Amino acid sequence: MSPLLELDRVNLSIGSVPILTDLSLTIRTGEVLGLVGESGSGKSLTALSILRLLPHGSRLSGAIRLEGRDLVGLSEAQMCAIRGNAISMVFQEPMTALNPVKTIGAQVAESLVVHGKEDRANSAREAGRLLERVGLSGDRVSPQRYPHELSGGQRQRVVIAMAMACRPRLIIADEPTTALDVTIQAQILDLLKEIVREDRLSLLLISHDLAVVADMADRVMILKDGREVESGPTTALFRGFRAPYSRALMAASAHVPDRLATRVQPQTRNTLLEVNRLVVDYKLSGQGLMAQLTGRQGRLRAVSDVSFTVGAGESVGLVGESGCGKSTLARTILGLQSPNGGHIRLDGEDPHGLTGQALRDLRRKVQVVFQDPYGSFDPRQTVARAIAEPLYLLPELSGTEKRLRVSEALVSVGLTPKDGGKYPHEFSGGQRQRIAIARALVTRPRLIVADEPVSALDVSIRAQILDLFARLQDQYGLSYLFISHDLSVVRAITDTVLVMNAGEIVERGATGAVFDAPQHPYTRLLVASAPKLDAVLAARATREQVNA
Amino acid sequence: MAHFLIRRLISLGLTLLLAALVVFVVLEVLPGDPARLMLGLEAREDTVQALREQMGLNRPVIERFFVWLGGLATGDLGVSYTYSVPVRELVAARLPVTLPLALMALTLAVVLALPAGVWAASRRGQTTDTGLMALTQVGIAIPNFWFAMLLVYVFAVTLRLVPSGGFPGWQAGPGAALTALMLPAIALALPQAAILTRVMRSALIDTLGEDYIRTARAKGLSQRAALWGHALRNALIPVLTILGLQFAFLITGTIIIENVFYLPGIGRLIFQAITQRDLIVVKSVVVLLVGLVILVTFLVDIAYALVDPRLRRKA
Amino acid sequence: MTRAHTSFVIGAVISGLVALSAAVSLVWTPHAIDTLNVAAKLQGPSAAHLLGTDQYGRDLLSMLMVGARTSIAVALVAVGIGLGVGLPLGLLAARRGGILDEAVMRFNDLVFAFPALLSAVLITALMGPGAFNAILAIGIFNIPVFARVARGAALALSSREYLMAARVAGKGEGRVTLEHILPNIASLLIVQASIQFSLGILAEAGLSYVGLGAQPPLTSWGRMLNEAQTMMAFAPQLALYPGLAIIITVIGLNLLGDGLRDLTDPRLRRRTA
Repeated sequence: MSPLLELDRVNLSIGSVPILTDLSLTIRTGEVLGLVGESGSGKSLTALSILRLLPHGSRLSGAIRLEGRDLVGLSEAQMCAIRGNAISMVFQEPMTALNPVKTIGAQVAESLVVHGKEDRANSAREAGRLLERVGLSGDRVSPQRYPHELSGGQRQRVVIAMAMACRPRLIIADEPTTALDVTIQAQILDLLKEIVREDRLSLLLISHDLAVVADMADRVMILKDGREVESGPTTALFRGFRAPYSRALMAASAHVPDRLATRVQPQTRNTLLEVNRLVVDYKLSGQGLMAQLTGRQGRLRAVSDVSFTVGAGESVGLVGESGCGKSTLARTILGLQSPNGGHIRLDGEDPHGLTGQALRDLRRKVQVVFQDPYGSFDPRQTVARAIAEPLYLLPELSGTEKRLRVSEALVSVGLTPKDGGKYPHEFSGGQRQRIAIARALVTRPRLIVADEPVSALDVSIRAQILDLFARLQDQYGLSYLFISHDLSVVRAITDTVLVMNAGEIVERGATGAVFDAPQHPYTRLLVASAPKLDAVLAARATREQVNA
Repeated sequence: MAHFLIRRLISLGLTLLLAALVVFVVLEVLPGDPARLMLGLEAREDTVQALREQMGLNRPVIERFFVWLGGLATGDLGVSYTYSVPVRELVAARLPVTLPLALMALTLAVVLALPAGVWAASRRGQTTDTGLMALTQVGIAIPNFWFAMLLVYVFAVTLRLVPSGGFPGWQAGPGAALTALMLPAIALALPQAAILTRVMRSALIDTLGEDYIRTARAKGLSQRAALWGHALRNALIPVLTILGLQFAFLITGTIIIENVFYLPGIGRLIFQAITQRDLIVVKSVVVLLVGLVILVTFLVDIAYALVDPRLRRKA
Repeated sequence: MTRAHTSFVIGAVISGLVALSAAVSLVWTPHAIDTLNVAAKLQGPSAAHLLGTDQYGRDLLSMLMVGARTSIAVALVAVGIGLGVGLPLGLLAARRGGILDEAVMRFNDLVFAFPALLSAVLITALMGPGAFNAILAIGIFNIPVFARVARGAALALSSREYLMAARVAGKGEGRVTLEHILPNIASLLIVQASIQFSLGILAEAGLSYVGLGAQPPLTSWGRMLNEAQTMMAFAPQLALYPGLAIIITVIGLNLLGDGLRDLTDPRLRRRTA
């Protein structure tokens, strides 16, 4: 069978920077090809090369053949007739992929009108049908709605409806679920599977997530620095990677750091942090002057009656999806937000009841590491100044002592004291996260609140940072409150876990036990939705045996 | 949308009230004795006393404010001290010059600038774009009244194509009246158009970089179709903001430029009133103009909501 | 050299020259301008009077230099007023939020309804004409401009995690604002200041032209245009020079602002880095 799409020794460079080197791949009709790589591997630009939607200054050579016809030489007008028609695309960021001033129905209908599939009158009806097919039935989500009225998952459904409008031969999905919560991810992946099967179309699925690709793809190609590392049928490939890079990637994605803390009996730990019946409300923003004066503004209960403890040297995971209140809980523990009910005891004292030196003394015991390795540093401060900032809590230290503390912190996260003179933008994402950890260590805290600290990192870097967290815990006897949406990360680094949904803790217990045998329906849904490589591969093997 | 409209209307009323209060405080409370301020220190006490009577200055301040507000609401703006004519009649005689001039200039600026901005944005980086941008750079820097003087010198004094100033009145026929307003309108419009062109261009360039434009292109829309179908309406949002702000400048520009062309508009009325210290006229005319600016800001807000569905809900 | 550099350098050179000639005029001008010399009126350019003389026989070049001083002083103080009041207001609104934010925004709306000319009309009616009116009127209008820019920029930063990290380090709201927000919005404020400075020069010219600004014997570019108005038919050069001075200065300031904006735009900076 001749391939539907064939890339033949494609080279791409932007300016003088080579992006893709001699890349060849084929996709057959009805086939799902998974393209896996870390950031900078060129996987997204591969997609944009196929559609010829490259940035200015790009040079593309080689052949990209769709059913034998080379796209590289086609005129812009000819490409317009192919985009959205024979080949369509689903992007990563559903929040910004839709035009905010047009209704979703109109945006889906436009795909049909552009390629002359329907006239204007019929296109609206057909758009309604398409939206229905991706799960947005008209009685619940009307085509007259605007994108901002929809959730992220719903918007991604709209993008998919647009992509399938003209019954394309190939859909390219570039990290289609990366921006979504794990339960929504599972739904969107199911939808893509269903469409591929029913319409017998091909899918090029681009992802950084091995488990997602192993679940979805018939064949997989691993990409690094714009070159193919290796490729093959999914089961065979995952059974025995040949290339060292693939093996390393595989190992990193399943990496569990070695922790001494796991060998401590939980009963023997002293309580460090106690959260008791905590309630935190949020004022809804966007309220007018009148509403504020009369006090009739909306309130949202972000954290509802939450109680738990963190023991000294213990690592507690806090799992939940976006908007569940986990970040508000973290802010309250850090003393950045006042509770509306209940209380917090850190080392026996209430941070919201103290002021002055007593509060500073308490604050140095809890520090924080944030998610975004780019946003967590003031771009105008040197690394040393950024790390020294929490030393504001220790006014008794002399200048020399402070400098010494900064150097120590840098060394303990695997950097050198000399790095302190540089600026944050001179470091990679992983290194910046090390610097963030150094900043948290500099006051010699007892508890570190880590809010999605590895979510923005590639898997290989993620493994290194998790190792660092584990080593520091053993070294300094630190406690962690580890907040993440990623179950595998939480499983790798925590002893106990709290599962949070809609402001409440719905389940708690030893991490392994909760994930192996979840009790609460929400935890079950969460665990079932999270893609797990082993499980996916096992299921795939059984399926292939049955078919064979 | 109804909720949004009500909220905006309340805010409109509040701003109008506050603006009137500011004008009232500056002209009637701060001077201590407005009648003395109007007549000067050398005026005789009984003349001043008579004016105090006429202006109702013997009554309490609060009462005066509300009487004045009531007058504003019903169109009774008092009687000019120097002209001894109701201020309403003075304004009614001058508005038919100022308003058409401002509207002509605004229309001209928009008609020139929006297409020019779109044109430049779609040719970003090319010579035509760079040239147009250099031209707008100069246009922004030209004081409109100086440009008006230049136009008078070239077209009226040297070439004698149009009269150098004055206004025949609408009763002389729309042709003659429009001719008299043409040069002032051009002088007002071109610098405004320069600003607007730049705003339109950069807004469009910004929106062309948005994700949803890439989505539209991936659907099969050409660059051109994506620009007209998706980018333009989003780009209009910042353009509307500037347009609203520009209206205030346009009103003041009109007032200044009436001086160059000896047009009997609101501007002449204000300056004469100031020279003659006719605070009654100054007070009412300033409040009218400020009210006009506030009203236009309100209309721009409504236009926003029409362009951007996100704003309709947020309220 | 990139385009941003070119704009910046040309803008800086023009603005510098104008500022320099204004400064020099404090100690020296080619001719004194406070004495009238009707015998030497309306001369063309000559070695003695490089740009000629006006209807009172004053040296135009000297007038331009002294006028630059007034125009610059008015615009500069007006920017100072706007920045001095607007920046704290904007920062306060952004950081405190709630009713205070709402109140600052309504205040902005109100002040925006009073363009400099109308404020000047009110102030002149109250206090009589003078350059001070122009400063005050332009300065008042600058307040909401800077408040809005500062508020917007501070809000854009408000979700940055380094602000939260500073709070965790025990630093109070005020200290975080001074140490982290102000330095990071400074470039935006400087760019806005250069824009308001050039708008201030235009506004001063307009106000002085209609007699609401600088009064004789004080001269300014707008004042010169006012005096040139009646001479337009037979001595258009009297209007030409101050007009060109305004245009060149404003272009210089705008280029300076554009250049600064592009040079400090992190999006552009990252590309060149």
